[in-house]
Amino acid sequence: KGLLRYQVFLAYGTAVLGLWIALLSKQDELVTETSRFISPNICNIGIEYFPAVVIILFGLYAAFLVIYGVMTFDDCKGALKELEEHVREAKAELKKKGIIT
Amino acid sequence: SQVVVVVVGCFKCVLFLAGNKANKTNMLYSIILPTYHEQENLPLIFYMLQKMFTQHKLEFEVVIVDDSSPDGTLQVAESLKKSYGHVTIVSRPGKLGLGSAYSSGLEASKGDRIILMDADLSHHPKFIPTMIAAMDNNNNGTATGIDIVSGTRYRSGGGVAGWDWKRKLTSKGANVLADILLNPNVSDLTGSFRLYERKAIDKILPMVKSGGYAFQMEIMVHAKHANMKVAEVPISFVDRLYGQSKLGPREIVLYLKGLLQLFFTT
Repeated sequence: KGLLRYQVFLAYGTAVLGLWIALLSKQDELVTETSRFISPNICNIGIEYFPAVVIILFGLYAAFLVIYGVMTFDDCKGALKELEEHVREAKAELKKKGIIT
Repeated sequence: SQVVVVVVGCFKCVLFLAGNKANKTNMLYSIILPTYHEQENLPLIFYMLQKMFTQHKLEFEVVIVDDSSPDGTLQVAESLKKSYGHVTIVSRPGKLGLGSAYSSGLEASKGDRIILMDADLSHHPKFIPTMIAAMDNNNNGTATGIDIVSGTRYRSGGGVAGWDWKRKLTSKGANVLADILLNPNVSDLTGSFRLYERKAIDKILPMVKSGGYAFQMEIMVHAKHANMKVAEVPISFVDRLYGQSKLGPREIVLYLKGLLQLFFTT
């Protein structure tokens, strides 16, 4: 009924590998045509290590999501106080009914 | 055979109307609370639940599934039942696991809608009306068709009280990892505060094989595969036990195991 998750990842991995092969085959062309804004050294490294570059960029993105998430994580200040107040009320009522002592 | 078709058609029509009428006045909410060692918290969460449901004029029952708590949890449950009613007690012979506790609770429930939540006061009943509204309300008055409303700590408006940055890091890291690996349709995959339509949970609960964190994840994965409609409501989770709690290497390993299992099998 659709691909399993690991199969989706394998599909993406295959696409990256395919792209890598395509880049490698056109490596010299790409290096010269982008030499005006990408240094040939960097371009060569980027093409030769393309899958690693993809993984590293992806990892940086994931790390950013985590760090940003932690920084903006809401502490729900007031939730604890409110709960304690409600617990006090509950205990009072329950004591009246003899359910707790 | 033509007559049979007409009769069946009318019968279905009557059921549909009766069902819709029940939505407004007779809808029964079952809150399933698995308990182990909750002698102190059980009466408190029950009180808060009964107060909220009574104030909102909603029919409810609290189904307490106790795994032979070694303290007075069962006794407290009995006295709550005697004083307030609205209680069904399922007493089990031992610690048999969260998944089977929910199954036993579901079996004993009569509700049209089921609420699963923690019994240790980390979930506040005040969010339930918001969840119900999310399930009921569309701006143009049509049915929402929403099967599950999931409480989330990770959307704007939600969060956790009582966590330091390390705990937040663990939680957010686990959440991002699960997002990447499973691409679920919810922001809080391990959240345990949810409202279900009866037919939705009847369908997916039997499919779930794991326990603990993985249980909550697996439920949402199955819901996604069954093309169920899920809405989210931000909630605050109050962790009063952080420090004495229970997130050691063992829990982390179990979580990763559950995650990988779902990654390879769904």
